[in-house]
Amino acid sequence: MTEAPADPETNGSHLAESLGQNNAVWVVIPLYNEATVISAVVEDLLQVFPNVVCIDDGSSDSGGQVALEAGAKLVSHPINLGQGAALQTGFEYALERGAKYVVTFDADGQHRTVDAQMMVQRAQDENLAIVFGSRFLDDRTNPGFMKKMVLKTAVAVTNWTTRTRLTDAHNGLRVIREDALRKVHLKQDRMAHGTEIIVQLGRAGLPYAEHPVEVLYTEYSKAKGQSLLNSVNILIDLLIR
Amino acid sequence: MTFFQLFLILGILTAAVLTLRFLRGERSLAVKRILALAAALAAIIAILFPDLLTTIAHFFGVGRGADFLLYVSVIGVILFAVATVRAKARSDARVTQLARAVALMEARLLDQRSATNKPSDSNGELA
Repeated sequence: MTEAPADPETNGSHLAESLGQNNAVWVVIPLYNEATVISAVVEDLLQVFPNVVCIDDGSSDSGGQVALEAGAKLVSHPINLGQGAALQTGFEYALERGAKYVVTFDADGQHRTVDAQMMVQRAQDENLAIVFGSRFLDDRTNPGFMKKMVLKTAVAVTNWTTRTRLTDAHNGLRVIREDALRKVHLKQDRMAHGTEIIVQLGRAGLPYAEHPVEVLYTEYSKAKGQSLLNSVNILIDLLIR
Repeated sequence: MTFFQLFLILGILTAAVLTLRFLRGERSLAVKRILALAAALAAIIAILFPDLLTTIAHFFGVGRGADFLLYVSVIGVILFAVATVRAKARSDARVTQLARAVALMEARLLDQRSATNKPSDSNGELA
């Protein structure tokens, strides 16, 4: 559980290579009452990314401690501020430590480390400032009819109000380069921050792309996922800015 | 003057004094104080001369003075609610900044401590 990330000397050369490449990459995970799953998520990420920071957003469980023991860095909000605020804290933490790229990753285990790795690679290869993960570019992910309708409506309104061309606005997996990161200031803590990021990044006018990712709908993430009522919030936040 | 009128006037005066004491802005303080005083004065006049209110109501095409008062109060309550919501949003934003600063500072201290405990384990943090 508490094992340090794989030693480059003794482990496979491929792994060592990716760890070295990803020295200036920080994975930012907003954490709120996810103690049961966070350990596996952090350990998996540390195989590829040496820098993982969890932002414990005033959890009432021991999630922060668990993440720390799994080998992540930990920043703890003294009170609950919301997921957007946690991301912003993570961005500032990572920039302070010289991050060139930041990967935003959900704590509930719905994203795959491989996808994050490929997105960072793509950002570097194609000189992109932002790579958004999208579950709708191929048919690996099956979110179910209602959820799909909600997400599709949200993205349609997002594209309409932000003049971007995206297929999935509320995917927690993103890669953001340092220059784009400096232009993001997530203000409204409880706004649909997925939208706020896109609004601000869209305004920055930096090159972006979408990358197909698979979202794993486990029983756990299904139970915790965005409810239909939350989509009402997303729509109102978008229309009244 | 009836007893009830005296009671109302005392209430208005108390509210006015408390408002003036608690209104602590910097830029618009004087304006707010003048508005509060004017409102209190208008209220006292309306209490002493209720017929005046009815005259004003008729001028605006409203039947009774009490109805006129109700409509004005409803607008007043709505404006107050909006102002309060906005003030809370500003205050929330400040709390967020404060909490973030505390969290980041704590993280820096933790980094420093682990750096001094294990000199080999450097993680390139900026103090």
